[in-house]
Amino acid sequence: MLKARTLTIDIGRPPEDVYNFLVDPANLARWTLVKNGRPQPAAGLNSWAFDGPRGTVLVHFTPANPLFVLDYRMQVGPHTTHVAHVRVVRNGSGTTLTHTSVQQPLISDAMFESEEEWMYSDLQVLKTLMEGR
Amino acid sequence: MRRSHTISIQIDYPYALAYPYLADPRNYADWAAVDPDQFHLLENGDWSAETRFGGPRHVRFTPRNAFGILDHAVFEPGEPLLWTPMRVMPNEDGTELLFTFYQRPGSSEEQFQSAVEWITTDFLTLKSLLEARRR
Repeated sequence: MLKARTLTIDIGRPPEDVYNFLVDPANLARWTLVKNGRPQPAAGLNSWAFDGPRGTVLVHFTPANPLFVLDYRMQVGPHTTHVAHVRVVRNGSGTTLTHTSVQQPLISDAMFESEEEWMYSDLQVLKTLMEGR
Repeated sequence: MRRSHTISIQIDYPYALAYPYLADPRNYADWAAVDPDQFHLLENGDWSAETRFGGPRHVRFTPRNAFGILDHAVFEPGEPLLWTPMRVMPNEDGTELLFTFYQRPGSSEEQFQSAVEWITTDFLTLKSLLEARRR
């Protein structure tokens, strides 16, 4: 089995709002480093291309669903660099979000560690953005 | 919002087998803190359980789904349901399990920590039970 890491974050906003925001791939550019999202139907249903800090990033998303699951797979060039399982759950009037990253075979421990730190700060941006509206 | 704690466990047992096992309520008493002899299906589709932490409860399970979601609510009849998030995900030839536990209103920090420890023990039981099936 591959190593996995789960980050959790509480967001003071109902899960419906958080999920509806996250499930629109265009919104990814609002809280992560990728920009200029556009659908990439040739790469599969729910696949989007973004301009990343080091070139084009292809992201494949799970279609919207009533269980508030949003898994995704990220590809830079021919390599899958990131696989994650995201879930949005109700916590009173707010949300608890879990983000589980799976360390891919070509990703070193140091790189995975650094990605998780980036992801944690991205999630803080998401929290601020969702709570501020 | 309530305080929460998410337990994550890696189980060396294929997801394709782990999910159907966990999604079948008949297997719940194998690993959760309920008395297997008294665990039974009710007419409305809920299950009746004698829990080791607080007496009789009803349990409602999430219907089977494509995402490995295994949320369930353990409640006293008549009280509002508090769903406990649980999910299994494939990880190569094994399974990744997540369980989120919320602090109950009126429960102290000490009770919360103790509950987290008990639940972690339940999941380690589940892990060894499933891994033993593989051998």
